[in-house]
Amino acid sequence: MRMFEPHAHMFSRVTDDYEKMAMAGIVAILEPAFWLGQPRTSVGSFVDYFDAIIGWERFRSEQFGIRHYCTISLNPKEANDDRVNEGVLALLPRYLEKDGVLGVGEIGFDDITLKEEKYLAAQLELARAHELPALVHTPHRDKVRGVERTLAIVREVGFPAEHVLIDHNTEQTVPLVIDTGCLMGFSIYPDTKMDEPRMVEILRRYGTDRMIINSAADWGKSDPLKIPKTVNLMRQKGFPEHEIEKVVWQNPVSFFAKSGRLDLRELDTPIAAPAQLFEGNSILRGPRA
Amino acid sequence: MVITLSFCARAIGVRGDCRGRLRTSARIAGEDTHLTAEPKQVGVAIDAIARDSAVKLIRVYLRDPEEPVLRLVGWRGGPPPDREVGWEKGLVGGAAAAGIPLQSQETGDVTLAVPILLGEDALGVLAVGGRTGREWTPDEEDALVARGRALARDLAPPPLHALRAELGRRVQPAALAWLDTVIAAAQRGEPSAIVNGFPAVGRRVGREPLECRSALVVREVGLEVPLRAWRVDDAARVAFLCAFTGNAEALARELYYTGDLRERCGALRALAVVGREAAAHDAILDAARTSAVELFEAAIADNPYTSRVLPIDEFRTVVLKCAFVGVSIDRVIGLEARADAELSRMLLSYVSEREVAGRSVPPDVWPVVALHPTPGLVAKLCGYLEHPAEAHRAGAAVALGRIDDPRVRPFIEDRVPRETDRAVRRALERALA
Repeated sequence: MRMFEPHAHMFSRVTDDYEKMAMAGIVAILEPAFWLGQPRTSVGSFVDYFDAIIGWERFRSEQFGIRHYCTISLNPKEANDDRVNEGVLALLPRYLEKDGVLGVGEIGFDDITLKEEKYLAAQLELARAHELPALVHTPHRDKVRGVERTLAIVREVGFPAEHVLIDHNTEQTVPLVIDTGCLMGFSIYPDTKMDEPRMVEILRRYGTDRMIINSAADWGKSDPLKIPKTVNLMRQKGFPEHEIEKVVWQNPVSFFAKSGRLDLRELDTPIAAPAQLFEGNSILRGPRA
Repeated sequence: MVITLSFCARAIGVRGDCRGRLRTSARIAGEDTHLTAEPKQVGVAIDAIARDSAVKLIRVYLRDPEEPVLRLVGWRGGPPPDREVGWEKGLVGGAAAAGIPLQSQETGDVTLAVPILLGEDALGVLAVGGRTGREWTPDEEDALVARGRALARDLAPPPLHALRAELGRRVQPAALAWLDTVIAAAQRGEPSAIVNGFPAVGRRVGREPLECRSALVVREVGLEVPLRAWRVDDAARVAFLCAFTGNAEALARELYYTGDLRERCGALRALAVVGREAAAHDAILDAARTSAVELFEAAIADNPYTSRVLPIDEFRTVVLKCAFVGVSIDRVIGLEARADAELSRMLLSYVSEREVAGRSVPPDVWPVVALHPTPGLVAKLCGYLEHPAEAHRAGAAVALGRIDDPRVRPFIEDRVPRETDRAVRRALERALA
């Protein structure tokens, strides 16, 4: 089954991950801009990071036959950092017009501060101006209150709910989000966040409408194969194939297609090896041994 | 003698207002050169061939853009020839279809036909004959091919016209209208239209290979820019910068530094066409250092700007990196003119390193290192004449032809009768000649 991984920080992963993901059936990855673990001390570091995820990482991914897209933002944690927050916000309009940028994100709350709130609202406005959907991170601490505040701001700003993906949900937050029209993302993690059995139980209880799963693989202990692993468990638990495909393909694809920049025909076309792009073998030599 | 002529303009991609200038008239240029069509460059070429090679009979045909035929546009000597020749038909049609020179043993008529090549695309055919008694030598063939290339360059439309014509064939009407809006703004000198349009090009017009074997001709610097590896979005981005009436080189540099991977490729390809100084030298070096082959290739391969602006030490380094990342060094424009003993040493050292590791080596290095041979190279090349891969045998044969060492003759003569590949055989025969 083909899968769309809607949240993976491949910037911090190795080529083995790409190889395994491709073999498991992941044909496209969306890489949201995020915190790098180590705080950045200047806006230039963001420029380099954004350039990496719109260029170098896409190139790397395509070496393994995986399409690579991204979302761009000032992340919630660094929204608190006055060395960079204003400068990064000023950079965003240029990056939000780039090819393959399918949304604004991750934005949202970390410590639920006033600064985080300010930059969340400002970036929802940018998403509206650039006609992009928003990928919203929810906090690890005080999650329920964070989700409530997030939903309140989405309403206050008047941003269309169906263009919002609220991520990192749990059993406690689903009831808050499910009737809002926002999409619900779940990060399946080895130890924290959500695991496969709990996820399958949530899908059984609430259905598959507007439900999206991801691995959120990053520089911490995480597993880029969590989508295929969850698919396996869904199968074992008797989910029909079309329900599984809805969660791992149709829901994320139709959400990010709202950007108008996800070429569905291209998504259905396997990436050609570089040598096949040109006529004959006059351009590149054959494979190197 | 008057023939309908507008096809001639279309054959070379001239469109719109340019066509209006082409008149329908019979002309005599030179003593008895007959032109059935403009442009007059054909007459100049015929006169030059007659002067240089003393051949009695010359015919020039150009491809019809719609039908698979070649149409006569000029001739000299002999009886009035056929006005049109079918693509692939006979010597003339065959040379056009194959894109290589063809010879015939018959006397009295055309005995050598060479394609008029722009890039790898045959615009037509130069045919000569009227001589008895001997075959055409490789040097004579080469001279006529060069004459054909020069004529193709003379006939080529300006880059913006050529790109617009290619895009017109490949892009949907709505996207084409958008392209024309940006081009018009660029022609009014508005950089903001290009800056804003640059990121959106891929999703507007697509990113598929352009599938064009032709080349752009930059008259100001007398260079050809092959389009064989370009994509549709490259063509559109370069068209914007060609249309720009401000400092296009500086803008291309700026767009490189603010662009994503595809935008950067477009900016680098644009430098090949609009670059006049060396203002974007730093952008070329930046791309040359990358490990993203797509970006490296756009900077280095088929890009005469790069070959022109890089100092020799940087130039050698990027040629070596081509070999290393799998981009054919054949695609480095002007390589033969700049190759030196140090480059031979660097490339052969890389070859040795691969051989020690039991890995394949790039066959396109042989003709280049042969320009400045190192001790032992001739023996190595003789060995490669027996390599199972045609590319190695052809590369070694071309290389040996360049070195001109009498000791290799028996090895080549030994190989010729056993050689089954036509191109390799041709290279071997040329090496002997």
